[in-house]
Amino acid sequence: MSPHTPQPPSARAELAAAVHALPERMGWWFIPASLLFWTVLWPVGFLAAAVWLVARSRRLRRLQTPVDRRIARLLRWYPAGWRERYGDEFAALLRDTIEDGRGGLRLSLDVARAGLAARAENGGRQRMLAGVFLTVGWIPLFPQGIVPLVMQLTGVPSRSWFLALYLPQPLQWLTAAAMVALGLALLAAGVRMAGGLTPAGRRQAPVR
Amino acid sequence: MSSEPLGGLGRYAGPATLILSSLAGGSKHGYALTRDIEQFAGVTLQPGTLYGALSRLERQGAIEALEGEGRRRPYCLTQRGAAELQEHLGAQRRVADVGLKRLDARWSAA
Repeated sequence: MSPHTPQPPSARAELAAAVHALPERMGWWFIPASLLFWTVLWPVGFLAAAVWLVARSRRLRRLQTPVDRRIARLLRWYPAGWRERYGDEFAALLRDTIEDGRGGLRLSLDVARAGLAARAENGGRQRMLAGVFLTVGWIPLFPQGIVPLVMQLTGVPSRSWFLALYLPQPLQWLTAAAMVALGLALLAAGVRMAGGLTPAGRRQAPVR
Repeated sequence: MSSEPLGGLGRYAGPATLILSSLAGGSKHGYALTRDIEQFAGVTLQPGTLYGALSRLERQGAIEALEGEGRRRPYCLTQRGAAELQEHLGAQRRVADVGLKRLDARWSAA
């Protein structure tokens, strides 16, 4: 082989070139975001899920009899505040009912229906809306609002899935700003709704 | 007090009447209430329905919880609950009286 024949690039060199080209192809934020996801978010999320599953399994194992486990499962239909107030006495009634031979499917259906009604009464719809707003609000705020604004300012060419960057130039700033406003509005509404919620079944002073 | 006796209880108005009628005879915990209602009304209230009505009645101030007997907690009627029950049963009695009189007048001979 002639010494002047170009050598094919090694795998290592190809990898280095690909990594070097990443910021240009994907945007400068891609590498820190990937590093954050693979080194922090994903392992922490996985670990938290594993810890939760183990703790839940231990809690269930500590409950010894099948009746105990059934009562614990039935109680879970109710919101936490309701269980805090009525949980012990309701569990005693469930035990009496089951031990009296009346613990059939009808009991489970009745408890499920009443538990769901207690949850709905406890601002269930408002809680759900607050959760949706607090989850969805980040999408217009960051990836569709702030990130396109920063990319506009820094002149990064990648458009990726940023809606604003596919529009004609004058509309890009406007759309990104509107997305920021929409995200902030959703998050503010979510925070306001969540702040107005009270735990269910909290004991109130009886009217005499 | 609500202008309508046991108003605002929705589907729990029926169970509420049974519970208040049972507690009119003295304080009882959940299981004793269930058995008592079975005896005097022939109706079995399931635990979810019973506690759905109990929690609403407690919020309305018609009943109140007493010190527990172990994990069981007895409930008793309040003045307000007694007044609401009296009004509600009085209205039901008027309807029953009219219905029975009309039945006697037109249908007893048949």
